[in-house]
Amino acid sequence: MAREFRGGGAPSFLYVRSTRAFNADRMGGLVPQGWRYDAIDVYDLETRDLSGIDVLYLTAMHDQVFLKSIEPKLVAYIAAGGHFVVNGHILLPWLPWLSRFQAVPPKPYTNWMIRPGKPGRYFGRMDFAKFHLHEGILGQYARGFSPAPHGAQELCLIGGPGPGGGSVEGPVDWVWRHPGGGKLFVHNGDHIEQFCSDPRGQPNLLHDILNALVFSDEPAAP
Amino acid sequence: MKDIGFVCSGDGAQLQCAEDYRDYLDATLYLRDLRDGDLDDFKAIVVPDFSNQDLLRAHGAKFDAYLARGGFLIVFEPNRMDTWLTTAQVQWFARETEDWKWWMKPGGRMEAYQPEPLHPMAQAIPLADMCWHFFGAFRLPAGAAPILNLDDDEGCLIYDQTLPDGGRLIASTVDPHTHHGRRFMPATTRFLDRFYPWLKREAASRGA
Repeated sequence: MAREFRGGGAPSFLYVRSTRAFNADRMGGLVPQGWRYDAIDVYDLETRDLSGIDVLYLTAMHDQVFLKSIEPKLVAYIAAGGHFVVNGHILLPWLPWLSRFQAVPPKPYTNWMIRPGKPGRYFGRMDFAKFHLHEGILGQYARGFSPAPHGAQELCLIGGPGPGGGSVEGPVDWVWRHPGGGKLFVHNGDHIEQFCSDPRGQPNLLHDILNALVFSDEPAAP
Repeated sequence: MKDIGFVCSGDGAQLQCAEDYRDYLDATLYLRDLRDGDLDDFKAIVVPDFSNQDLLRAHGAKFDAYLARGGFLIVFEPNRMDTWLTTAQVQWFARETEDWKWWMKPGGRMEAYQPEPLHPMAQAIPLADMCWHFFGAFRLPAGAAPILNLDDDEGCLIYDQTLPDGGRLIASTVDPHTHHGRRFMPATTRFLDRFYPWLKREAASRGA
């Protein structure tokens, strides 16, 4: 029997365009072609019916003041089984399970190396020596983390020793499951679709993340 | 009248900058809710890089009115101010940084210089702290002072223009807020660490 999704016979992806209006928009070519795809302006979330959406995708530049203003609607969405992919530095947590971004010390530069935590089906096919480099440059992927809520799967880690002799480390990528609801995937850095997600190559990070959100049991239900 | 208002689109990097430079900023103005007259309370208004261009276009008349009343407006690209600002004619054109990874190469430099090193902003911010990359360039308006130019005056990256009705525009195609706010590229932090104290002094000198 064919699996049913919130969007019907195929998972549905809603790309939320926000502050950034400069770069070329490639998202329609990056999302699996078998998925249903749509894109809206962030402010249209206020009135958009989300009942048929499986994954709501927020870019690294999104209006956190506005999203905070519609928090109850977004909480209802995940409680009903919808999933989020959230990119960027959170300064104003607009969901109860989000926390403020924390930078790791930029020196030594190896603090910006991304290391596996429990990568699971999300990052399990990635080569951690290079998947997060941008034209060979370290740090473009992310410079910090945010504390994950209890029960989250900490997928990838960042950080290391600081100038005072202590250590600052945390989950740069994590995913959490709402009890009885959908999942919240958070990437505490730049647009994750810019890394290892070209549709002409394999493995494909964006596809793996989306498929793990929709098809896997990770993280396990509490 | 207050000194500096910071126009924020709600993006994380902009929220971070508003926190980091709060000692110099008198208020953060949420762009989506901007009302007529809101800008008039400030001697200087900063529109940071990577603001929401649709909202800037929707509120463009407010920025025009502010400049026409003698306000001091500082706008960083890529915001395409040429598409929403009419009080001052801004002529922006596409121009990519020749080699955005110049800083990784021994002896590397961005293809720019300060043509008027005695300009107060150039005196406050050395060339090294103005260089990382840029988003396009401007044709220099007649009478404007160039602060950062491309080599051979191929175009201008930062200029300072006094308008006939007393308004003042500083236009920039370098984008310090996005990178400082994202904790990436130390030159952008050095730029802002020098820019906001300078702007505070400059705004204060514009009288009550």
